[in-house]
Amino acid sequence: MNFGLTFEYSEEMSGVVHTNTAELFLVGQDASNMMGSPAGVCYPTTTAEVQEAVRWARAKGMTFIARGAGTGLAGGAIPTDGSLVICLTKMNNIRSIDVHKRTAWVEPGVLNADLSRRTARDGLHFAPDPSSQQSCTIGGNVANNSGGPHCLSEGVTSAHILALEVVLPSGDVCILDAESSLFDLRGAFIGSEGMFGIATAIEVRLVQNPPHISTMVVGFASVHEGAMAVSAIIAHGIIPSALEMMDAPITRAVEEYVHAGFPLDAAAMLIVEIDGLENSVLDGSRAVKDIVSRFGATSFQVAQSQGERALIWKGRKTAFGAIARIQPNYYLHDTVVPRKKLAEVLSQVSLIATEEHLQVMNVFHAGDGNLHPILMFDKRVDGVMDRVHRAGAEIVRVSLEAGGVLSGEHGIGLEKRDFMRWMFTENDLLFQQKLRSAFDPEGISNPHKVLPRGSGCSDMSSIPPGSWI
Amino acid sequence: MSFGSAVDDLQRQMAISDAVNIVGLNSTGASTVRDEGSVLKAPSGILSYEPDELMISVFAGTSISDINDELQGAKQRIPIPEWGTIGGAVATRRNGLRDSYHQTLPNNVLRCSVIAADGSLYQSGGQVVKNVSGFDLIKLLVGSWGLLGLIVEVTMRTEPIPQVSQWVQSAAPTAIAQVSDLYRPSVVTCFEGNMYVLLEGHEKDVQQQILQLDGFSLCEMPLTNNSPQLTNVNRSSQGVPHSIERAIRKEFDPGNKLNKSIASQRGLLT
Ligand SMILES: Cc1cc2nc3c(=O)[nH]c(=O)nc-3n(C[C@H](O)[C@H](O)[C@H](O)COP(=O)(O)OP(=O)(O)OC[C@H]3O[C@@H](n4cnc5c(N)ncnc54)[C@H](O)[C@@H]3O)c2cc1C
Repeated sequence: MNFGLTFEYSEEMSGVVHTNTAELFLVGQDASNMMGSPAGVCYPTTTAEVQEAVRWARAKGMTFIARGAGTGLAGGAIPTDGSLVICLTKMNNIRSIDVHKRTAWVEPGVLNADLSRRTARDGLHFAPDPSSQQSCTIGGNVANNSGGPHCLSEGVTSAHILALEVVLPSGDVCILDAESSLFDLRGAFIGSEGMFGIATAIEVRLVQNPPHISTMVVGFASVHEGAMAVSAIIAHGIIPSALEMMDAPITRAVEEYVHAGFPLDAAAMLIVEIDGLENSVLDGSRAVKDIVSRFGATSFQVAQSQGERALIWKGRKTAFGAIARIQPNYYLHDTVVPRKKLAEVLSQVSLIATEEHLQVMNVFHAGDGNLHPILMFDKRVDGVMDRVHRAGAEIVRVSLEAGGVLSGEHGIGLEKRDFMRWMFTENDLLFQQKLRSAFDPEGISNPHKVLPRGSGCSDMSSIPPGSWI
Repeated sequence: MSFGSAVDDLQRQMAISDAVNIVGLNSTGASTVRDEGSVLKAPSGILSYEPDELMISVFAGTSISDINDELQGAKQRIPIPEWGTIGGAVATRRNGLRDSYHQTLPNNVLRCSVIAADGSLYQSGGQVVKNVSGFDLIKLLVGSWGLLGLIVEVTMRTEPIPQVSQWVQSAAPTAIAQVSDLYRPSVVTCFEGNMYVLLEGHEKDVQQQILQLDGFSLCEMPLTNNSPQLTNVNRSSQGVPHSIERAIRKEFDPGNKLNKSIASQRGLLT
């Protein structure tokens, strides 16, 4: 497809910008519980077409919003005010792979898991592995600086991005990399949630697949003991490649769905994976076994084959499919606390849920203190959304009180925008706004996200009331 | 958030100065004072160290060797070269040899507190190991050469010191191919026609890797000068990214107060 038009010639980009209700309904939402109201959506296939779309929106006085697969959980991809949605899913070519340098150039619509599948035969993979990796795009990973279970040892997305080709809100295109500027604009762009422009090509770092892997599943009689074991493993100086926790309710739900052989009698289970060279894996796994038994492990299994390992990870990563069988709606939360506070904050979260009469399950990246409480509910029940929001706010509050932060990987978007003041001073926010202004002086790229309303920190125009939830 | 009277004083001095030179220990010569105006230096000292969390918070004027002395007790380290201050390393993105992608520092700085050109204090990041709360000013500050403010506090991720660290070297033509077969060596660098590799980890694994290499010999760390140099011009000095940098400078230092000669050298006086 070629737009075949430039904004000067085309009044409406008819046929290119879709405005039918069904499509607008689809791109009006993401994986959060919010709903937006876009004016139109287009599907560019080249960088030039993205430029054209941005320029067209500018000429029309419209704002625009980049969209990947729409799996974001913080409402980052919700178009708030009649924006043009620029959907990148058709820019999904892997442009080149350099096996020797272990790098690749990809388009933003390439699905995360597709890249690693392509490089598997060369013994390489793209390290960030969000649980949504079968469906989320690398462009979305860049915009949200996404993480995943294996980011504990590998680092999050920003550690794996070498260069970006970006269409700026001005319509200009440029490369952001180590040489193009003194300041690390590449680094500043990553995690900017679509508010600094649109990434149209991404140079990623590929890493060698580990020669040895040991994947352990450990059951505990209480969440508290499991959480204490997590701190103890890190304190011992072991950095597992992944260290995940699941509580009993989610373990049960997953086991019924996937049959991964998880311990059903445990109050909490850990997945501990150690990878690398032979002896470090052997010693590391032995040390883990010692530590967990000191914290009263009730079961200890080690994956005996690649198949068993894959099943464990399938269980972990399809947890969200499993919960759909219990309640029609869920709210997946995301905060980070210091590891030593895990046990304490988890018990506070459970109290909060009880108080609001909500069911809660926990499946999360325990190794970096990244909590993901899942509140489950049925939207149709009167007043339930109020309870969900109150519980969500309380979870943020107890996490911050424990010395934590608002988000570890899902981002701020709309969901946490108005909590930003709980963590940052006005001056902190002012300097974030200054950075945004340098990339987008008019505030037209994905407006109204991240920075809270009021006091000059947010985008100027207000959001139409009732435009979401 | 308050860091006490030393930082309060610096904020006052910053607010009343028209021109400010930010200095560290000047271990690299990069902070040689070349301009008129006040000379400001971040305080030094360790603010908190939690070995079990693998995290340390320090005043930015603390020397890296002082930090590593503190970390040694818990068999931990920060993996950047041991000279100068941590603030200086962050400001010049002094990663050392360890990371061929120059991302050691950006990936290990967890929080920065900065005195802005107007004397106000701003902070980015947090005392946790994973964080996507708000825009990432840390990436911008790492390698900002004092042009976005005086970094007064830094929180860093620490790492366990590996059981064994061994450098090996070779001038053999097959060295490159052999090294690319190794599993994630800590450092690979070429210097004066030799290839240097740092192998770290479990003693037996390092031994096995050395055995696997042909034509390599054990050696000490190569004494290369790997401190970052501020180059005058490069391909960017006119392009679109440069105009973004200038816009950032206008936002952060509208009066062109900070490190004037560095700003001028990079075309960042606005
Ligand atoms: C079941 C489930 C599990 C998940 N697990 C994880 C997890 O383990 N770790 C994790 O970090 N996240 C997780 N997520 C969240 C989500 O998948 C990630 O944030 C993902 O990176 C979003 O990618 P996307 O393509 O769906 O982006 P979208 O949701 O379409 O967009 C997200 C944001 O990115 C912007 N954007 C998209 N593409 C571009 C581009 N090319 N240029 C500029 N901006 C762009 C959008 O404007 C928006 O602000 C999970 C989500 C679900 C539903």
